[in-house]
Amino acid sequence: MQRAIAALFAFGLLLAAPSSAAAQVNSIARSPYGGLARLIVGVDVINLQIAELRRELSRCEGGNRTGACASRALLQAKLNYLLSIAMAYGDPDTAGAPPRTLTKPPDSADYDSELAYLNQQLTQERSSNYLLSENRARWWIIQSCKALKDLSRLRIAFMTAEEAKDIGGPKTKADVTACVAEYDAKAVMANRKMAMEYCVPATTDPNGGRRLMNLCMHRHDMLTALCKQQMELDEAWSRHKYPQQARAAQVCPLDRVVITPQETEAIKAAPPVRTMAELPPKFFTPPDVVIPPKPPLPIPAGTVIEVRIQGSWDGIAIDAVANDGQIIQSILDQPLVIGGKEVLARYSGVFLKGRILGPSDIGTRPATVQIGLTTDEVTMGSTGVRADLKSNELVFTVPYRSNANNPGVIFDTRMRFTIGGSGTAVMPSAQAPASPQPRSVPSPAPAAPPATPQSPADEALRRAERIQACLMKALKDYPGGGAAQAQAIAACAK
Amino acid sequence: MTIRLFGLAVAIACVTASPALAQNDALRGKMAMSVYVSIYGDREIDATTFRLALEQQLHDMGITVLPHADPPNFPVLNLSINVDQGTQRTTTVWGDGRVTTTDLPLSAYASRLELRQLAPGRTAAMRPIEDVTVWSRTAEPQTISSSVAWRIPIDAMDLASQFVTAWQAVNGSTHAPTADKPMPLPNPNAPAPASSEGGQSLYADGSCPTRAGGGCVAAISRAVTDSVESVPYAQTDMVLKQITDLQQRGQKVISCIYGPSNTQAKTGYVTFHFWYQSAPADILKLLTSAFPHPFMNLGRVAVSACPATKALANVVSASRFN
Repeated sequence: MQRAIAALFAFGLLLAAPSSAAAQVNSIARSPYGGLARLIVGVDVINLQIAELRRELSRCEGGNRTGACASRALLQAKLNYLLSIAMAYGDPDTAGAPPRTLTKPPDSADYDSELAYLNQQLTQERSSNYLLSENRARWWIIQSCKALKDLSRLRIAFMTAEEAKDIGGPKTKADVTACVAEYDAKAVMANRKMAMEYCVPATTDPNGGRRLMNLCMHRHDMLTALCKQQMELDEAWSRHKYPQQARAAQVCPLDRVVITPQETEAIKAAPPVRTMAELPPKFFTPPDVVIPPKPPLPIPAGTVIEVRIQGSWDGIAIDAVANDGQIIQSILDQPLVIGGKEVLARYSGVFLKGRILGPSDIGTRPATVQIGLTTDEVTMGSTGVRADLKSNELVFTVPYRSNANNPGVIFDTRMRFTIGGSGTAVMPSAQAPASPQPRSVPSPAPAAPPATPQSPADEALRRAERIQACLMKALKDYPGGGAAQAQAIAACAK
Repeated sequence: MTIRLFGLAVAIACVTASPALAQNDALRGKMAMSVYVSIYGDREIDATTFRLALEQQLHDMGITVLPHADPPNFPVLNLSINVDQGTQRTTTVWGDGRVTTTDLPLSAYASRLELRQLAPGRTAAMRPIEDVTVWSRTAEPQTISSSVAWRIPIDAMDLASQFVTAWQAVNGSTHAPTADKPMPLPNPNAPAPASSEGGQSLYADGSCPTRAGGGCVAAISRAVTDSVESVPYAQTDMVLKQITDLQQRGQKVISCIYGPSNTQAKTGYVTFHFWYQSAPADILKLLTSAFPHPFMNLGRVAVSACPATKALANVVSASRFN
C-alpha cells in the first residue's frame, strides 16, 4: 500500500513537471534569464493570466481610474512581465492576441524583412546545427552575407570617414543581395549534414574527445567558412588601422557547430563519409583589405638567426596554426648584431608561420605529415610592436597526432632560419633529435654573439636544456612506455 | 437568532479589520515618497523594471515621486522579495523492487511592501531618530515548485495593489497625476572615481557625421538602443513606433567612445549611449510600456557632453534610473 502511495506521489510530481521535454529545452535555450532558466509549467496558465490582464486593461481605457484601474500601471507591469515570460518560453504571442503572422517578402532584395520573417519562423522550430531546417539555413546565409558585405559595425572603430562613406548605401544593399543570391538554402543544408558526418568522426579521438572540429568545419562547411571569412575580415580591418598589432587567432565560435549527444549518435548511425572535398577557393579568399607593411628591420638578406621553439608541434597543431591563425612562438637564442649594432635583443619573440605540406586530408588519418615553418614577425623591445621577419622554410616530417614515442617538433628545438631566403631546407624526421639541425644552412653565418653575463634567464635555459635531454633519454630508453618510462620522466623533473 | 449571528460576524470583522484600518490612516497625507525595490536570491527578477512600474503607479495616483538622493526624512516605499532555491527529494519504491529518486526544484519566497519614514526616537538620548514602518503588507511566505516561480513578481505586484487601495481609501482617488521630473544633467567634468584601468579617455571617432560634446550626436535609432528583438512580439510594433515618433520629435542621443583599454594593441573600446541634452519628457511611460524596453540602456539620464572618462561614464550609466 505504501509503495502504491509513493508511486502515486511520484506520478503527481511528474504531472507537475513541464509537459514536454522538447518544450522544456526550448524554453531554456531561449530564456534571456541566464543559467537559472525557469522551468515553466503550462504556458496555458500564463496565457490565461495575460488574457485576463488584457481584458482588465481594456476597461481602463478612456481614463477610467476606478476599481482595478486604480492600479493601471501595476496591471501593465504584470502584463509586460508575463509577455516576456511567455516569449522566453518560445510562445510567439499569447492569449487575447493572435500571433502576428509575417509573410515571406516577395522581393528577394528585401533581406531585412526576410530576416524578420525567418526570426518568427525559427521561434517555432527546434534548433539543430546538424540537420538545419531550410529557414535556418536561409537565416544563416543572410546573416553571413550581411556580415561580409555590410561593414557598418566596423565604421567607428577602424575606418576613416572616406572609407566609410559608401557603407549602408545602395551599393551595400546590392552587394548583400548578390551575396545572398549566390547560396541555395537546400545546398547549404546538404553541405552541413555531410560536413558534420565527415568532420565529427574525423576529429573524435578513440576516447570520445573531440579536437579541432572547427578546423575541419572551416574547410568543409559553407556556413562555418563564411563565419571565418567574416572574422578574418574584421581582423584585417583592425590591422588595417593598427598594422603593428599582433594578428589574432580567428576561430568561428563553437556555438555555430555545437551538437547535442543525440545528434552525435545520429551522426554515428549515418553512413560514414570517409572523404570530402574542400570547399571551393572563394571560401578561403583573404579579405580585400590593405594592411600597411610593418616597419622594415635593417637585416640583410641571407642573415641566419637561431631560435628555440616554444611548445610542441605535431600535424594537428600545425593544422590549427595554418587555418585558425594561431601562432608558433619561439625566442631568439642570441642577440642579432648587424654592423656592430644590436638589432634584436636576445630572447626577442620570433613568431613563426606553419603549414601542412602534405598529405592534407585529415579524413584519411595520415600517420605522419610534412610541415613547413617560416619566420613571420618579431617583437621589438618591450612595446609589443612587431616587425616583419620573413625567412626560408624549414621542412619537417612529424606525426599527425603526437605520442610518447613520436612527439613531433618538441619544446626548445633549435632552428636556424635564413632571413630573406625563399628556399626550403628539409629536416630529418622529427621523431628523435632534440635539436634537429637543417641539412643545409645558407651562409653567411649569424653574427657572433657578444659575451653575456650570467643571468637567471641563462640558468633557466640551461635547466630547460637538461630537462629536455633527460626527457628524450627517457623516451629512448623505454620506448614501450609503461611505469619504467613514467618513473624516468618523473626523475627528469627533479 | 440570525440577527444575533450577523451582529457577531460584524463585530468579529470590525475587530479583525481595525488594525489594518488604523495602519491605513498612517498613509493620510503621504503625498511624496521615493521607491526602492530589493530582490534577494533571484537574479531573474529585474528590480529596476518593477521599481519604474511602481513609480509610474504613484504618479498616476497623484503622489510626487522623489529621487533616491532626496533628504532621508521623506517616506520611502520599499518592496523586498526574498527567494530561496531548494530541492525536494522523493524516493519511490516500485512494485518490482526498483528504487528511484526524484528531485523537485523548489522556490521559497516572501514579499513585503512597507512605507518607512524617519521619526523621533522613543529614547531621545540613545536614539533621537528612528526609521519606522508606518504601513506594511507582507505576503505569506510560500514554497512552490520552481516551475511556477514566475508567479513571484506577480504576487509582489498584488501587494502594491493593496497599497494603492489603502492609500486611496484615506486620501481619495481624485488627485491629478503628477509629472515625472527629469533627472538633472550630470556634470561631465566631475572628478572621476579612482580606477586602475588605463586608456579610459574619450576617443574621437573619425567617421562621425556630427561631433559634439566629445561624442557623436545622432537621432535616436535602433543602433543606439537595446535590441528590439528582445521585446515581446505583441509589443514590437508599439516600440518601433515609439522610436520613430522620437526621431520625428528630434530626440538626439550622444555616443561616447572610450579606449583603447589595451594601449599597446590599441584594442578594447567601450561605447556608451546617453540621451543628449534631455531625455524624452515621457521617458517613464516609455520605459514601463514594455519589458524589456530597448531604452533601458539609455535610462532616464541625459548629458550635455560625454563624461570625461570611462570611469565617469560608468558612474553616469549606473545611476541612469536614479
